[in-house]
Amino acid sequence: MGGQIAEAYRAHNKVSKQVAMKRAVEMLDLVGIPNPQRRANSYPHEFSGGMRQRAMIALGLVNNPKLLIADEPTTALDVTVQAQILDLVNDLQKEFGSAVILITHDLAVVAETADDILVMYAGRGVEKGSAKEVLAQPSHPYTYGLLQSLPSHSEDLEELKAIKGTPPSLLNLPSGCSFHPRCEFKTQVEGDACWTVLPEWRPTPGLSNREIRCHLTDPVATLQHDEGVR
Amino acid sequence: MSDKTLLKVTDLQRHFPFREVQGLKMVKATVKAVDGISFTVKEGQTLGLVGESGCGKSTTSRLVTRLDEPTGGTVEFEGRDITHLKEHELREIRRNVQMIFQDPYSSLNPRQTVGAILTTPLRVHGLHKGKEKARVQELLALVGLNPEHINRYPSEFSGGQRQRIGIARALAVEPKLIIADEPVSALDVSIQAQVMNLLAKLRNELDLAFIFVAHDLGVVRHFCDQVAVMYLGKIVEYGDKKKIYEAPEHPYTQALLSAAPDINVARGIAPKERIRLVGDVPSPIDPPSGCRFRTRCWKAQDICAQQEPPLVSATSEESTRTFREGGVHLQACHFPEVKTDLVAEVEHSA
Repeated sequence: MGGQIAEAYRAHNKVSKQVAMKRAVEMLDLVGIPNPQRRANSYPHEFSGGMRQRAMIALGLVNNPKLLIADEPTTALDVTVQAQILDLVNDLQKEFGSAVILITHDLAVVAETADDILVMYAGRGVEKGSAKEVLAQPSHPYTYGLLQSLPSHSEDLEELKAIKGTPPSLLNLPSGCSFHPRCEFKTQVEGDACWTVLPEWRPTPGLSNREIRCHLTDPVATLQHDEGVR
Repeated sequence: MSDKTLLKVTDLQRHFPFREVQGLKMVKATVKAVDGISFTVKEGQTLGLVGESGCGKSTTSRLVTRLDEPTGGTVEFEGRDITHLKEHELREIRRNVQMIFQDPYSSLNPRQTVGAILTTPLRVHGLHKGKEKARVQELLALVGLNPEHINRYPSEFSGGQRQRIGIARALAVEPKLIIADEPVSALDVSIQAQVMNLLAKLRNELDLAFIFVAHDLGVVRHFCDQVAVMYLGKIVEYGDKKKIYEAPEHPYTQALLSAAPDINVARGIAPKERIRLVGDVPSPIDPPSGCRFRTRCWKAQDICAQQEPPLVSATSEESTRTFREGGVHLQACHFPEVKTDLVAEVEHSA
């Protein structure tokens, strides 16, 4: 494992193997691998899942990147280990001052770690803003539907509020807004804009620091009304 | 829900022996995947099994369905001991106990049409003779698929639809108990709710009992009546869902609840107390002596290494005795302590 980290370091820094290896051991220590001197000589299969993900983070950070892209970094891990890794990413981000793009399907992970959020659907962004604000008060029907469908949002044993249908094939995207076949609110848009016109980014009416791609005239009021009715 | 006990599991064990090379010697070792667990499921009741990978959830479901044979303990279904029944004797049990699998891609035969997949269990059990096709179409409609799609292949369906086919296959023989092993974890977030709703609807309409195996604490909370928390082949806490989530007593349950990221943080509900465990789950080949959780536990004392804590009620001996009848709260820790602030209280609109 140490060899792989040292290799990444030497690719960008003209240093000897010994210096690079020393740096690798430092990095393993930094990400909380016990006994890093010895562990640097272990192979990945000798590591547990959580330790492997720690080693990957060490590999990602060895060259002091300004931007770290973490693609589902904890999806394969158990919850107690996931919590450790997310804490580690947060701590290292503070220490190194890197920006992080966290790619995940888990909204709760976003709620606890991200500053800003971009919600994507069928290859395009549909809503962006501060993570906490978007998750607390979504203004795009897709974001709203996702949040409503979580079990934590429902009373015990009552029916979950699922989004109808399935995500479209990227080979054959729906016309207009890609979300319209599954959208419950398309009837509230005048004319046939949802079917024919791809919505452009625009600020959400009534909210600061928020943009959506949706044709609804007043999405905040529409979604709030819906939540009240349910 | 009636009071009739459907499934009774007592001291269930599954040890996998294997040989390992250590230096120049072959050494016999044992993986203790499930190591002495007990629980009951009544008619129409849903038991959730939660825990991290390697805790024995899936092995437990394979033992209960008798896809695998226990190495110790007993499994009784409707009062009949099925622990060591032979394959041909199991047929009746198979009709009553069915399984839904995690992966809707690998659990359906890609070379068979949906019709063939759903007709096979009917033929095996000699049900609806001569009217198989009508029954298959009825099943498709029941799980929300188009009955006209009977001649399609699994590859023509989406992941959520395939999981519906898997559910229809389990329902084909009208079982009383369904073991669902992570039935939604392979699905898109927006599809999970649809499948959860389908399972809940079927449970009510057909009065099914469930053993629901999952690592997602939110899904288990939504769906189950009782919850058993497993760690390294043991049940460490067992009780009504409300008890487990709102007043857990075992440190592992507390750590598990605390570790799950919470969407309510975004709604301005203060982050709950954080408990962070150190390290990973130890190997089940050579589990820690005494309490298996002690190597990661912040309360561990000498006694924890010496004595294995039994699964008992922390408050009274009386409720330990009534455990077999259900409706109590048991935990296996030498130093149990209730914590109530781990899961944010959700305010419900509307």
